[in-house]
Parts: sequence; structure tokens; C-alpha cells
Amino acid sequence: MKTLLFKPFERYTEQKLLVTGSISMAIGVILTYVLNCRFVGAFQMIFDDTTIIQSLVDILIIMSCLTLFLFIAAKFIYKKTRLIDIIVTALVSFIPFYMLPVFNINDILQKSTKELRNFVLPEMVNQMPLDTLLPLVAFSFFGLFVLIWSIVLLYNGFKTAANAKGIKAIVIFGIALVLADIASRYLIFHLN
Amino acid sequence: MKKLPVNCPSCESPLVASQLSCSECETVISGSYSLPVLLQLSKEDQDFIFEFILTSGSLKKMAAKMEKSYPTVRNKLDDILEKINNLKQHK
Repeated sequence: MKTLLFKPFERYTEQKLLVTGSISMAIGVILTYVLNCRFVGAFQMIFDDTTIIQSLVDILIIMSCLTLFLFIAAKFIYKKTRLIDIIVTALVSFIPFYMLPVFNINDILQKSTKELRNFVLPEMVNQMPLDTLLPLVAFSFFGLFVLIWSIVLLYNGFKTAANAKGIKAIVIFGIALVLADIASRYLIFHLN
Repeated sequence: MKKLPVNCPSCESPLVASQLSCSECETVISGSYSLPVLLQLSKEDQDFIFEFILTSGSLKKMAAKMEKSYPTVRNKLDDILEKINNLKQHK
């Protein structure tokens, strides 16, 4: 179970991972479209009306940025790194994020966020209604869990693809991840 | 099967064979013979190399047999190659 959830790249073939990641991506595109969410960066999601094409392009940009920067980083560490191993790492590590749009069924989070804007003054914080606050708190905790899970998956995939070891590899991975996030945010903002 | 010790349990230095004997006629040869590089690897690494030869050097076949992904098996092979190179350098 631990291998399946955190280290699938050590065990499953690239074909299985590619199919799983691609199907999950298709489901993710549909979920974000139906539940009015957008991934606007490798690690950022907003609640907004979207089209199916926009949802697809958002996720494709994120996948491309993650693949590009992680592949460059992996090649720097290990010359024999295969592109397919980095592609499946990006695809599979994003699967946990596809659970997040479910929190916005009936636009709950979108409505809660808008409602909370009425309580921005410090003296009004105590007056926040609990039924508005609760979904956002639950989403925040789950979001944090999903973020950590996704980064662990990304690192394990990167480590397997690039035979990466030691602090140097972690630093290079971290830099690649930050650059992929910045590039994806920039491209989504300007192109989509 | 008994595990062949390759490092000194006291100081971790590589062990050498100092006595060889014939089980038939009980002739004993004394000397100082270094262990071959492959024998200095761990049992797990030796088994891996053995499997590698049995699959004609196909990492894909090995990955399927070991129920591991291709890059995991390739990484293992690279790690063994690194160990062998280190052992050869220290010889």
C-alpha cells in the first residue's frame, strides 16, 4: 500500500503509470470544469468559472512545465534519465490534486470565500458564521495534506528516474519545482 | 548456505583468504589471496548480477521478473557498478 501511494515509480511499469496518469488527468479536467475550479500554477488552485478547453490547457501547461524543468534537473544529475519516466512522474504526482475540486460541489467554497469577504475587518472576525468557515478550514487542511503527498510523489518519481541521492539532488529538485511553478503560473496567466 | 564474510568484523577492512584446503586429500595451502571483486559484493548484489546474466543482460526482463520498474532495476545496476569501480580502485 505504501508503495502504491508514495512510491509507485519503483514498482509499476511506465506504460501502467502513463495510462493511470492520463486517465486521471482526463478526470481532473472534467472535475475542474464541472466544479468550477482552475489550476493556475503547479501548486495553486482557484475557484472560478471555466471552460473545458481552459481546464485542459491549464493542466497541460502545468504538466509541460513540470516535465521540462524536472527533466533538465534530472539530466543534470544523471545522463541516462529517460523522458518517459519524468512525464509519468508529473502525471502521477498530480493525481492527489484532482480530489480538491470535489470540495467545491454546489460552489460551496466559492460562496464561502465570497461571504468571508464581508468579515475582513479585525473586529468582525469573531462574527464569521461557522457554516461558512468550516468548509474552508476542512479544505485548507486537506489541501495541505494533498500538497505534501504530491511533493513526496514528485520527489520519489524524480529520485527513481534520475537515480538521485543526497542533499545536492534535493536542492536541484527544489529549484526545478519552484521554476516549474513560476513558469506555469506565468504561462497560464498570459496564455489562458 | 554460509555467508562468506568479506570485511573484518573488528576494523571493517577487506578480508583476504589465508588458507585453502582440499576436502579430498586434506592438502592445505597457506598464503594471502585477495578475494575476487564480485565476491566482495553483498549477497543481494551477487544475486542481482546472477539474475542479470540469466536474463542475458536484459534489464526489462529483469524488471518484469523482479516486479520492479525499469528505472529501479537500472539504478540498482548502476549502484553495483559504482561499488565494483570503488572496489577495483581500492585494490
